[in-house]
Amino acid sequence: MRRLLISLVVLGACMTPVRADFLNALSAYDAGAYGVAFTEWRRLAEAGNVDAQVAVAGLYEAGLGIAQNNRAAAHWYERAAQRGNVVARLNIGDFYSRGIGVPRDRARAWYWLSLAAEGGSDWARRRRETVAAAMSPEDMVRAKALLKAVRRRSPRPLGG
Amino acid sequence: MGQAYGKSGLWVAKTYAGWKRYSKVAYQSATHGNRFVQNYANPQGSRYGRFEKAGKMPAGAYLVKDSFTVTKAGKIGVGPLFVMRKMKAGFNAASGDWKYAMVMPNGAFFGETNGKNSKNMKFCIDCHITVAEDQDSMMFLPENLRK
Repeated sequence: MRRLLISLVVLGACMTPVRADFLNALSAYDAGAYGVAFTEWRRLAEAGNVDAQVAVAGLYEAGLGIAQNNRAAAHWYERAAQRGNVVARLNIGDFYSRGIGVPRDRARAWYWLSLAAEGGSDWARRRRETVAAAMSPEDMVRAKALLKAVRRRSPRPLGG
Repeated sequence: MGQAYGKSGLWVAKTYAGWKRYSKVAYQSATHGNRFVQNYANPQGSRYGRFEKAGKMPAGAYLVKDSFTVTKAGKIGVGPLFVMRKMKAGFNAASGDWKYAMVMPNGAFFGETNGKNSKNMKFCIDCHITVAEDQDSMMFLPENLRK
C-alpha cells in the first residue's frame, strides 16, 4: 500500500509538468508561435505523450514551425496510431491510401481506417469504403490478415 | 476545410459551413495567431450580427471561426477551427458560460471547457474575458469587413 501511494505521488509529480508543457505548446500554437509549439510538442512526443505525437505530426504535415515533411508526419501518426489514438489512425490510414509520406498501401490504409472506425470515427468509415472500392482481392486478404493479427494480440476492439 | 475539420467527428465541424457567415472576406485576426479567419454563427446565434449591440447571447448559440495560414514560402494551409458555444447559466462563471474548443486541421482536439482536458482551453477564456462585461466575451471583426 505504501509503495502504491509513493508511486501515485511520484506519478502525480511527473504528470503535472507534462500537462503544463502541453498547454504551453497549445497556447503557443494558438498564438501562431509555431516554432515554440513544435519544440515543446516534439519533446513531449519523444517522451511518449500521444496527444503531442498527433500534434507534432500535424505540424510536420502543414510545415508549421518546421520544414514540411510528410515522412516525419507519417512516422508520428503511426506511433500514436499504434498507441490507439483514433485521429492518428484515420490520418495514417489516409496517408497510406494516398501514398503520402509512406508508399501507397491500400491494405494498410484499410487496416488503420478500420481500427479508427471501430474507435467511433465516421470519417474513417467513409474513407475506408472509398479505399475498399479500389482494392484488389489480394489487398483485401492482406488487410484482413493485418486486422486478424492485431486481434490476436489484443482481442477486444482497440479504441482510443 | 470541412474535410479537415470533419476528421474530428464533431457535429459543429461538419455543420458550421452551412451557417450564416458574418465576414465579407477572410481577414487577419491578431487574437488568433494572425491567421486568416471567417466568422459564422448558427441560427440561435444570429444576434451576433448586431455586433456591439448583440447583448447577451442565448444558450445554444454557436460562434465559429475557421482559419487558414500562409507560410513565409507562400503556402496556404488549413488552420484550426475555433468554436464558442453558449451554455445554460451556471455552466462556468469564469468563461461567462461559454464552452470553448479548438479543432486542429488534422481532426485532433485537445480539450473543451468543462470537458476533457478543460484546462487546455483556459487561454481562450483568458483572452475573451477582457470583453466579458461589455460584449459577452465576443470579439468582433473590423466594421468594414462586416456583412
